[in-house]
Amino acid sequence: MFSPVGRALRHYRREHLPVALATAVAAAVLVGALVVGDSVRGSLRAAFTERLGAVDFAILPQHAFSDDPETGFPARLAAHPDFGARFAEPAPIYRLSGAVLVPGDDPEPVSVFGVDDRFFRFHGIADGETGGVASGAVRLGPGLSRYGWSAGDSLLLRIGAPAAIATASFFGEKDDASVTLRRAVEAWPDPAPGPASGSFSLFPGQGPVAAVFLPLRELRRALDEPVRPPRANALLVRALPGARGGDGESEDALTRAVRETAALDERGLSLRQGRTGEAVLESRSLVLSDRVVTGALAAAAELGRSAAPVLAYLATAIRAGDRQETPYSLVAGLPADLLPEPPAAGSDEAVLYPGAWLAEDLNLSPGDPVDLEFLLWEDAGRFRSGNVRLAAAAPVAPAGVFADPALAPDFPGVSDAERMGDWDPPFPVDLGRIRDRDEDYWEAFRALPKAFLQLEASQRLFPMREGRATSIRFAPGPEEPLVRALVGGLPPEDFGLRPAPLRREGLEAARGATDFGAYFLYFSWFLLVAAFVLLVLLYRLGIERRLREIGMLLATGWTTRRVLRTLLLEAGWVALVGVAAGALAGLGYAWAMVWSLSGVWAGAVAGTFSASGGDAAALQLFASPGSIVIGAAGGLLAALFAAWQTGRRLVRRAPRGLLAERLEDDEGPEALPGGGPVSRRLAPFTSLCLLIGTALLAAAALGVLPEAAGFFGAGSALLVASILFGWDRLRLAGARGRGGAWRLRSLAFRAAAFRPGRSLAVMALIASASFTLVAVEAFRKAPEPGRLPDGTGGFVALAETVLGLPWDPASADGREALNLPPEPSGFGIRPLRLAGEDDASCLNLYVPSRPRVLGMPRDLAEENRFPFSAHVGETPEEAENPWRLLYRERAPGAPIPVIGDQNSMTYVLKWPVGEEREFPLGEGGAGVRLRLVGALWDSVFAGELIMAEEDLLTHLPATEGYRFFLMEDTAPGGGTLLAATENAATDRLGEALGDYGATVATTRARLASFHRVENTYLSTFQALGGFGLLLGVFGLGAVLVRGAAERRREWGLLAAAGYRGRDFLLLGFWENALLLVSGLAAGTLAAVLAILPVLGQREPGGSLAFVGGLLLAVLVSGLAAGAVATRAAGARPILDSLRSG
Amino acid sequence: MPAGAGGSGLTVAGLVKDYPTPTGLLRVLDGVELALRPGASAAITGASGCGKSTLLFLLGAMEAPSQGEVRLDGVDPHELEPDDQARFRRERVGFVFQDHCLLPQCTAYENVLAPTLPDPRADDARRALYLLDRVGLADRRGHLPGELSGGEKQRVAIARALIRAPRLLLCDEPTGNLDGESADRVAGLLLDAAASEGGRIVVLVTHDQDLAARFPDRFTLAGGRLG
Repeated sequence: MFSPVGRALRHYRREHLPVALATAVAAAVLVGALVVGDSVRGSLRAAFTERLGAVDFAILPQHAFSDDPETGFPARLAAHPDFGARFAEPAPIYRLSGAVLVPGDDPEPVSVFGVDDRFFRFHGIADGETGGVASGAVRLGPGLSRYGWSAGDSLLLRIGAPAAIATASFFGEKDDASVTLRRAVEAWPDPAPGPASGSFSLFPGQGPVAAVFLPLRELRRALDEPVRPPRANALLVRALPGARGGDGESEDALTRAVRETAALDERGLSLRQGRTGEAVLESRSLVLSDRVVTGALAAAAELGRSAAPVLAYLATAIRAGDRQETPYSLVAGLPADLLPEPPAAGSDEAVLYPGAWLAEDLNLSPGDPVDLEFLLWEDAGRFRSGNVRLAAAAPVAPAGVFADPALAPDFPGVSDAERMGDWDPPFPVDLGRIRDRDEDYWEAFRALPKAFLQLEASQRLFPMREGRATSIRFAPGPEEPLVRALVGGLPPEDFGLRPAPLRREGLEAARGATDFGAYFLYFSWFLLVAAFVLLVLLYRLGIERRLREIGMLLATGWTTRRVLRTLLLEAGWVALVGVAAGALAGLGYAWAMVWSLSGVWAGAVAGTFSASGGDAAALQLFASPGSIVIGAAGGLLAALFAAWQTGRRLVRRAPRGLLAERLEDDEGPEALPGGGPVSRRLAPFTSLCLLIGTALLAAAALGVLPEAAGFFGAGSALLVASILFGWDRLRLAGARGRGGAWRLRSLAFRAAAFRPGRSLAVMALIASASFTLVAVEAFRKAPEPGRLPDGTGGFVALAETVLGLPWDPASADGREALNLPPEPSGFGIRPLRLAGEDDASCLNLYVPSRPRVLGMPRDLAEENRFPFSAHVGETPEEAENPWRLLYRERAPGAPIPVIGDQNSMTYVLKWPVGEEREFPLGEGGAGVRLRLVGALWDSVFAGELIMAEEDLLTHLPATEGYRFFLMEDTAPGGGTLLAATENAATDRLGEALGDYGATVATTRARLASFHRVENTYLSTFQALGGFGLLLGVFGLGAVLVRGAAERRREWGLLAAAGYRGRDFLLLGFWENALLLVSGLAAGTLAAVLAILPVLGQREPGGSLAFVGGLLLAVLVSGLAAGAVATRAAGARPILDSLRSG
Repeated sequence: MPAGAGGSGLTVAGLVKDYPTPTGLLRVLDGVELALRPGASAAITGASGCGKSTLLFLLGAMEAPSQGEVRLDGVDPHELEPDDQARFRRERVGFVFQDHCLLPQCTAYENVLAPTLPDPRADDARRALYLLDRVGLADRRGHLPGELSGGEKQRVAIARALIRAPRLLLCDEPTGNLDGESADRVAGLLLDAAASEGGRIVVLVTHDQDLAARFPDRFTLAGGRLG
């Protein structure tokens, strides 16, 4: 017995080879695209894990913790039984933001790490034995290598000093809190990838690591921290082998250990004893948050101890009429039950309870009007004066609580001053107003409050965003139970004392916001289609040579099912060979794509991968078995489908026709499906397409549709109409007896029309491909010369600083306080606050888990300067200005409304407008629920979410001052060249904000950076689509070869009748040219219509020249392929042709 | 019948044709001699595989001889350059094959005109219609080969072969695939082709003895020689 499949595989191997090749192409494209996705994900993963080093978890609390070797937080945590069993010795570090001052250039933002030998031992770096970074030196991360610093060079490092008291608080230091150090650069002694060469980062990010490492103790000294206890603000944790970071049990154990270890100090809280035995709870940030107050009061209630919140504040003056004034006096708000003769419940009367000293100083009698003046710090970054008239109550005796200095917390720059004249507070004081009497009081009583108010009244008068109390007084009692109750009632997570599973979260983010596998499948769409069409054509061409064989099998009793199964089995073996070759070729294709993404298409990955690595992450080839299997399976399915589709049609035909080797197309063009005169059937559809196209053009012209959409739609309709028209023309070319001259090219056109299905398929493929390649130009984003795009909101430049500006640089006071030059005429600065970490734009390949958030000031929102593409506005006011959605009233606990950029929301965060999402943006990574209420169109805010400034200040961790700035040209009438304006704006911004580590750019450049990613996608699509088109054109050549082979006897007869070699070449040329030129012409003309608006708006760029060159290459190579095919077909001697039947 | 004076007519002298095979040269024609005057009609018969078609292809300059010469009106086509050879076939030789070799996508009329396309002349269209009428297919001129019977297709092939009024008409088993009536009709047309338009030489190769008997000059090819 013989195997018919095996025999056929051997005998028809020449027919099978091109089919296998076409299958290989399809499989290669599928495998390659998927492997590109694997490679990007794998490279992101590799880059992240390399930079993370040995870190599995990190604890990043709100307050710096004690690093005392015996009693500090790391020591206590390491001693916890749950910790020691699973984790290695933790490494405390100081983690800050800073900037390296580069001579002649903008400051370079850097991450600053204060480290000691524990850091190096943690990462297994031998350097830990020698203590790490030398005294007086710094080591640099690879991201700074481009500045060329070498060992021994000196550099200036500016570090944003952490402040326990928020800068944006009334009590916070507003002056420049950064420190500048000059240090010598030290080389890494044994550089290796990762932390051993300074490539260290806790969070996933692209681009080179710009980090500076200096000795921990020196950093503490530079920050002017107390020697004891030494502090750190980040604790790195590494799981022991066998208990890796991804294990949920490890995370639970660590959480448990932190909960049971974290003391009041780690929460930034402390207890001290009041004068009368009370325990007084205070915060290092000076103000107790509402959550702390609530928890503390609950703890007190649990112990059955009374507790009293206190709010201490500074009055700039207390004045009694036009008489005396007492300057700079502390005032304390106390609960009513602590005050003598409190006003009646529900009374609105505001009463001041003067201390005895104040009553005497102002000669107060009960009932006297007293004016209280004070300063408030506004969110807008400026002080505001406030004053209130109160009624004086009877003086309170300096005894008990009223004589307790513990009523007032330690105000920095105030409490530790020997004299009032030595005060250096974070708010303006006129020390000239201080009298000797005031100095006497200070000497005797220090910061003891001179007057008292009702707590609620003081909270109303002195509103602070951070909280409404400066201390809580607990009734006297044992301290330990109170501490236990407080620790138990104040969850450590509220203070950022939660283990952040950085490795797990980072690996999650490394899945990538952009699925490059899917994108390359889209880009390779035409390659896939061309490969499939070629596969079908080649398979069909091959099987049509075996019509008599199939007819014979059917005539001798094989069932159609059996014949089809045999054909499929044969096709399957061929496909397997093709797929195996294709899988290998796919790896090569992926390698070429990866190489291109590191080079000519680097824009698609925001230019953050380099071919050689260097100081940037390297894009490497990673291939998962799954991708190879899926790609190969896709190729196999395509081949089997082609075989099934072709075989199914053939085996259903009558054996007689098969034995006569009659193809259905032999009936001529009028036998197209549906029968009847084709023109009559096609004309309505052609007309309909033209009508639709015209309607779309009219709609665009009238403004009903966006211009781009109208023209693109019209172009698409014209393409369909062209293909239908081409089909009709083919049919007419095949019609008989139409008269007219009968020429050589008429014979060629008749040959093309004789196989209308094949010819139409090739023509339609070429038309569609050329249309798409050209028409996508409509989506390429290019700046219009001399005009600011709408997405800039009319701003010419923007800047982002490493260090926050507490003052509003747009105000005169702010500029004076910040030592900024006077506002340049013709420019205005609009400051915004910034929270979060991760860039949400297409420039970030990692999934942004903590997206950056900008706080939109209400006045800027009301200007409605940025266009929207979608929003959930319901009222006419919201529809008129969707920014108002940020300020819509909402129920307590409702998600915070945010606005984002359309592209970022669609492609990066995949977040539809109207939906809610939770992000770990809260204190210590707590979740914050947001609702996307609007999407901006092509804006400069592609990297950020935008919420109301008030919401940002309320719900997100303290954002120290302003860090994002927009600059606009306010010169009347404008008129200067945009480029000149941009240069001036960026210079001014850089000059003004340079000391704060500002990165400055024009808004057009920022938009261009986003567009570069999208435009690179388009270029990639065009390039790969061009390859697909070329493949389609070669497919045309294959059709010609096959067609010539079918017509060898006819050509033999023509040769016998005296046709010369060049006559055959002309025949082939005309037939080829008909299909090629009509396809290209139909597609290109329709595409030109589609992009007419774009052509009118901007200068034809390099991309149009590229596409034009591509189409020309397609035309030339197509004609050449046809000539080669024709020549090959005519190569055999005439006699053989005639004998071939 | 000897060729006419002045070198007109068809003369074949010492024609030899060898084919290479794995075991050495295979001599198919071994010194064929032939001379036909203008207007002659000759039938060549012989056993299957004796070389009849080979001789025909050599006469029509579709294949080169190993030795010997062929002259038509004094011109040896095998001495011509390829383009001249093609013109020679186009203008002086007509072929009719057993398998009609019509172009399936062209109508009868267009098939008749097919040989003229490389070098069209003003009266080609008129002559094509005339020839179709002569073969009795004037009313079928707009039909595709798929719509014609075997005999009709062969008649179209004859009209095509005569489009340029060739001096030499070569027919290879023209009735091999036809029924008796069609074959008879085709034979009549071929004989008529010799008689009409003065001076045409018709050479027909067949194994049909009855058909061969209708031709005035009859030869048998055996052993590589004409007898």
